[in-house]
Amino acid sequence: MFKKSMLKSTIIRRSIHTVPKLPNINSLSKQGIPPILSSKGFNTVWNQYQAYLCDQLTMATAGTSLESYYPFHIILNTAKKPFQTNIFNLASATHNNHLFIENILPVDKGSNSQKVENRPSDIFLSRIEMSFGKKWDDLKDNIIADINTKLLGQGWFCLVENAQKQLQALYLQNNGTPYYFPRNQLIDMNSAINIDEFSYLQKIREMVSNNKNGKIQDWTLPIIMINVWDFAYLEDYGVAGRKKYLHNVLNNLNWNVINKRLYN
Amino acid sequence: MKIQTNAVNVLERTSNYLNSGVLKIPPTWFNVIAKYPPRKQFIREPILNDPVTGKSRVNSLKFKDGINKKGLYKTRANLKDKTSGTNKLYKPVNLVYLEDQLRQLFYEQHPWERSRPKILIENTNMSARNYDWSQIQQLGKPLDGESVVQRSLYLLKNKQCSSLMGAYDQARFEFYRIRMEQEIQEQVAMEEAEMFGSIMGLSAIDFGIEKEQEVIRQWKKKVIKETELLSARRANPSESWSKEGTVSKEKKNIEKVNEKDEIEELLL
Amino acid sequence: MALNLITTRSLERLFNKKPIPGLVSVEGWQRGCIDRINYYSKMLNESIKGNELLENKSVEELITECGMSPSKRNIANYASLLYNLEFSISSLKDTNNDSSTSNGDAPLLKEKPTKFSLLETPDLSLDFNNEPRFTAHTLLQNAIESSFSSMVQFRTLLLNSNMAISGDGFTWLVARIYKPKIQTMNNQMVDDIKYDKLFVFNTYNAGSPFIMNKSNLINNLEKEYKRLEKEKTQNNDSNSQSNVSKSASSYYNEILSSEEIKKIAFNDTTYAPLLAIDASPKFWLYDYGVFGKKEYLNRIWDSIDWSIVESRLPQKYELKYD
Repeated sequence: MFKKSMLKSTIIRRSIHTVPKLPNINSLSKQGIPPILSSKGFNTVWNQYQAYLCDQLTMATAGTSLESYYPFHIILNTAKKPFQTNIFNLASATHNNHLFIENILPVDKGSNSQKVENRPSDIFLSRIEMSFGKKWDDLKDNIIADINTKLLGQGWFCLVENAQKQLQALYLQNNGTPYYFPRNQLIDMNSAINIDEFSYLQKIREMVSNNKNGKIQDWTLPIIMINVWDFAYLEDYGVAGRKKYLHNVLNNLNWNVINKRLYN
Repeated sequence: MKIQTNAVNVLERTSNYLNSGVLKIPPTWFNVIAKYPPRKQFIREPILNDPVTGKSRVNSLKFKDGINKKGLYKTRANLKDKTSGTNKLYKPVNLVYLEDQLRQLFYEQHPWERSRPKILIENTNMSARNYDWSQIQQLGKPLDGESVVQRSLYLLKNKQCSSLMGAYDQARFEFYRIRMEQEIQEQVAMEEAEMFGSIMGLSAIDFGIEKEQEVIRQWKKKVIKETELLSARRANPSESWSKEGTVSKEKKNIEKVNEKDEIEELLL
Repeated sequence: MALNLITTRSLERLFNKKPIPGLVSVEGWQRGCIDRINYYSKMLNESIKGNELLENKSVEELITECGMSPSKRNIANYASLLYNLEFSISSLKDTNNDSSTSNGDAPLLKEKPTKFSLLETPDLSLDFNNEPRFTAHTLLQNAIESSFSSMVQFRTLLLNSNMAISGDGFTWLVARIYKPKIQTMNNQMVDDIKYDKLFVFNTYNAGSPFIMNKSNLINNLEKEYKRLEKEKTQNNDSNSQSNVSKSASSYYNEILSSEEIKKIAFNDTTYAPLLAIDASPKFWLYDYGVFGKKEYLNRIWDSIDWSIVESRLPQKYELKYD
């Protein structure tokens, strides 16, 4: 469902990636997305950073067979090719950032007679309890703490639904993608890694080298995406304010979008 | 064959039909043909001057006054001089573009630029006219030899460089700088992704080796089979009673093949 | 006291350092540098709390001692971030001679670079405003030219490497040292260290130039992993063995894993950092905007203080034929 809406708006003219058009973009640019982003912060993370990603992606793919692909397809196409990592990075960031902005868009209040409620659906809440053994409100604090320990630099937080319809929390370093697990980029090898992380990597490595011709199948789909790059929070919150930013995002999500992303 | 003069009158005929009401709606090609009507003159005329250079295309029958090598004095043009003088006058003039020469030079100097994959489908929305060559990079156009050519022509036209070669060199060096940046970009992105726990498939070189090995393995199977057949055919029917002889021969052949295979793999 | 740590020698120097008007505005300096240092040292102190053994150690010692231990990862990370940031700032100088910039509240750039800067044609100049030879640092100039062929090549490599980092990280100019005579970087004994060549490389997130040799750690992990796998298969009593087909890349691994090469490549080699450039948007986003990294890097080059870089250069290692 979300994929369709993504793809529709990503490309207007052939071979050029343009910033997807959001509803009420003018008022968003003026007011930002209170209380998450100020107008300046919104301009940075969307009007500028997304434009930056789109232009870079266009330049990196122009004139090649990837030219007319959507970012989502570019991600899948380049994920296995180490020599196209820079294209993968751009496509993944473009796609993730779109998912992010979609799920923090302010909720349309609706007319007086029909008030639209902005709350997680019951299915979502029960799924969370089933998968994590915790209430959503408690899980939020866990997520914030985990982001702080796991994402030292740039990255994305992504709540995903896997093939078994279980929910999972992924902490993607830099421009990892939730769609293909060998490129999740969950582990920061710049610091010392422990045996668990090493065996996780080793397992994937064996899987990849054993499946040279067969495809590795990954049916994971993102449900909630949060931008943990500097472009999203630095302007409004400062270096030390990342926790506060995450707190604001997790408490002001657009559930109309997220509930639809979940498999019913 | 008679010249088909009727065909070129199609425009007049159609417009008559339209006027008289035989045709109600003008055909789709009507406006196009009206804008570029077919040529009606079928007589070829000699092109005496080259339209580009303005030089005369006629080889005037000149020969040097004075004594030639043989010590004779040439007084008039011979048959060869006469024929070669005018036979090219009816041929269309060659189209000469500066771009073509630059293109050829660039790809001669950078043969590996040809190996970059490129989409050949033309994109009508973004004709070359939309590009602004005051900069070498264009949004939606890959950086390639064509960029260098267009950029150097721009530099020449706008008097930023005095000579063609100077302009070409500047465009070329700009091109190199961007290529260097791209190359490092690719390497660093790869390194960075690996440092953040990405597991990727085979590198470009490994992929090539794997593909080659596949072919070699196939070839090995095929050759062993063929040698077996060959040795079976060659084997003396009387020898077939003493099994050892044939077997040893076959073995030898197979060993030879294996040796060959090993050499092949070493070469890789 | 945990607070002791913040006031170790390197940080004290840092807090006295003034913003660099040609490179960052006062506000940008506060956000991109002071705030970060405060945050990193707060985190470092939190993670070190209660460990008396580590509390009195310098940042460098913390990196080298904790860098290889997964359980002390937090300590090493924040120590390394602190060190890298401090190191990258320490070699910067003010380039702007204009008096107009003296009022510190003014933004650094009148207009931040826009999306059109992505298409900008590269500058072809071969001479730069800021080279070591202009300030009579010929030793450094020669060292760079002999390692990278020319100043242009060095500048291109250095700035492009940094430009290519997509997330957080630092680009380093380092001197490779053969057979170090001492283990720690001690200022008095620096003269004993000799280098043979300069290199440029990147570290990402909290990577440190002091911990380049992770082969031991990886080897141990590999052994541990194999042992665990074995135990698992024995427990399951299954005969299925992980049958990893020999791919082409494993040929390379065979070459790389041979002990001989490892010795040459790693054992006696360390890298002495001379210069670092911060790639993180935390440093440049405020003043330069989303499209401004290239402009930032151009300015970084102009503000490199070569005298400090040269003072870090060890003695050259001369090959003697006798």
